[in-house]
Amino acid sequence: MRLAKHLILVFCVLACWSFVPPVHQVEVVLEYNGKPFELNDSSFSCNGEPIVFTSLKFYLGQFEFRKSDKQVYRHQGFLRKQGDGYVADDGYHLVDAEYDSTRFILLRKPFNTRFKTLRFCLGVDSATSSSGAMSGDLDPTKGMFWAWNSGYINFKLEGTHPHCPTRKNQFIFHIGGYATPYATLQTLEVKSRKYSTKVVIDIADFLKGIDLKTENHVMSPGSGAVKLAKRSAHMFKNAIE
Amino acid sequence: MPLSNSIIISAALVLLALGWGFAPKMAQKHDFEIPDGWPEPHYDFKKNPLSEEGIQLGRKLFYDPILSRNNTVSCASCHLSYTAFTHVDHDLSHGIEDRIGTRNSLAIMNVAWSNTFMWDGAVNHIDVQALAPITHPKEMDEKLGTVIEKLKANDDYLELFKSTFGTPEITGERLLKALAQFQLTLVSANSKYDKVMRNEPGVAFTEQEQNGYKLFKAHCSSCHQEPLFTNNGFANNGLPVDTTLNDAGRMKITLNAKDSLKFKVPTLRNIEFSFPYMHDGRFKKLPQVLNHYAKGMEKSKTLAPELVNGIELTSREKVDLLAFLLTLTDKEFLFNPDHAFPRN
Repeated sequence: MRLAKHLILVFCVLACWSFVPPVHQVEVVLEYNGKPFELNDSSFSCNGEPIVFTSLKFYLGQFEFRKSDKQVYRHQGFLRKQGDGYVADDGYHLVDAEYDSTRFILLRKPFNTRFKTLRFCLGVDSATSSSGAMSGDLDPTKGMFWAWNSGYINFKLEGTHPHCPTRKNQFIFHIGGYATPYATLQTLEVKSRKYSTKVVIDIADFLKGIDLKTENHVMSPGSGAVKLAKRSAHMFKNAIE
Repeated sequence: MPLSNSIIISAALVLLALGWGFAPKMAQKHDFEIPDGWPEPHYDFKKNPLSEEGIQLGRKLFYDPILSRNNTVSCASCHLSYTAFTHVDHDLSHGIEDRIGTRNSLAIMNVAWSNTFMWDGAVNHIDVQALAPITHPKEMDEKLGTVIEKLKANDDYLELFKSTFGTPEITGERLLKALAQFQLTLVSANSKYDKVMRNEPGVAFTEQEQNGYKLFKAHCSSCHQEPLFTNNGFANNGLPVDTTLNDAGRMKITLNAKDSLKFKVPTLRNIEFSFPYMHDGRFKKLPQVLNHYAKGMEKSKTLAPELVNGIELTSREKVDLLAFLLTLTDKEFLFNPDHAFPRN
């Protein structure tokens, strides 16, 4: 009888465990020249002149836990806080520098898997971009969907720099476009730990190789956006080539 | 023992009944009917199942100027039900504060079968189509977020969103999906042409219409494919460029020179009511359109290959073709009270 009780207890624990999906945390670290990235901070400089950022937003998604090219486990949705609990949600995660909490991504991962790296994309894939109205972070109220050329802005960076010969020295990069030959989605891979992964992004590395005198606004799909999208892949400090 | 059992069972039943009463009322499913002989719709109804509540919510939104910045312009301002949901009598449609746009509004019908929207295909899905006019400075000049704040302050809308989606939460996705639901019900499939095709008793083409149909199949149907009277493609139909607009059409979206001066092939259904014609509304009358195809076309690299030699018709043939085009008028659609302004 006592043994049976113990067995039931063990069974209950195991049952509970299997109902709680394993969670993997991704922390997105935002930097500028190795220092913590902040919006509206006037202490950063670019080419010897002060640079101020007013907006930084981008989509991350399609996370895959990988052991090798053959052993790939797609993540099973995001866990998002809603009220007192969490809800599972597919789709994409929007990192918005204005809200620090958006730097932390909780991924549901398959039970009992071993993996070495985490692969993901910067931006929204073409099927999702043409599937109509989306919820959560993909809701058009997030300001990341183009009304007059359907598709998501994958990466948005806005700010001011004295080299920009524009109104109020503004630069505006809204990088997106999913249709060939102007697709802008970028795929990246970083080394992963068992329960968490850091993704380090240095915005200074994005701006290297961009001449703000001549390249200061891209707001539609095309070759300019493709060039900047390729540039944006360089800002992932710990990406595996 | 049997007594306590029956007590337990009745208690369970009472609880179940209570739960039933308190459970959110499910929206009433609406079956989308595919007209006989039509292809499968392009729209994925699984992602936005139609309900009576959703359609009525979409209809209320469609006719409500709350979507515009100063609450003066609704979707229906440019898309009137009695004129095949387009803006008649203006070559270029006008929006908020009488600001004039750069194109003639398109008719809204049979959108479930369409995979691109706008004259240049700028919009890739009917769900997100409404974002374009809501945010355009010459149309409704409003922000999606502000529309949602205005709707949240309105008890009627909170109730309608709740009865449609289960909770009163108003999001961009829900707003757009409700608007899409109403527009998806705008199916025109009961014209004389449709009835003839379905061999309905007592309906037949006249000799003139029959001859017009033959001419239509010979000269027009490669682009204006039956039964939707469009191939959902883009084509340059030889319109000389209006230098006050310099509209390059589809090329602006694809950035491909091969798409220069190409515009959406519009449906010909209800063409009798959807004047003026072409992307810039340059033709007020149908005979002008036929004359254009006969000898008004300008040759260019991207001119549709089907049109290179023009469509020469005798005046008798033109009359017959027009007679056929008028059989595409669907009065049951145009004057369907379910499509009109919702009077409760």
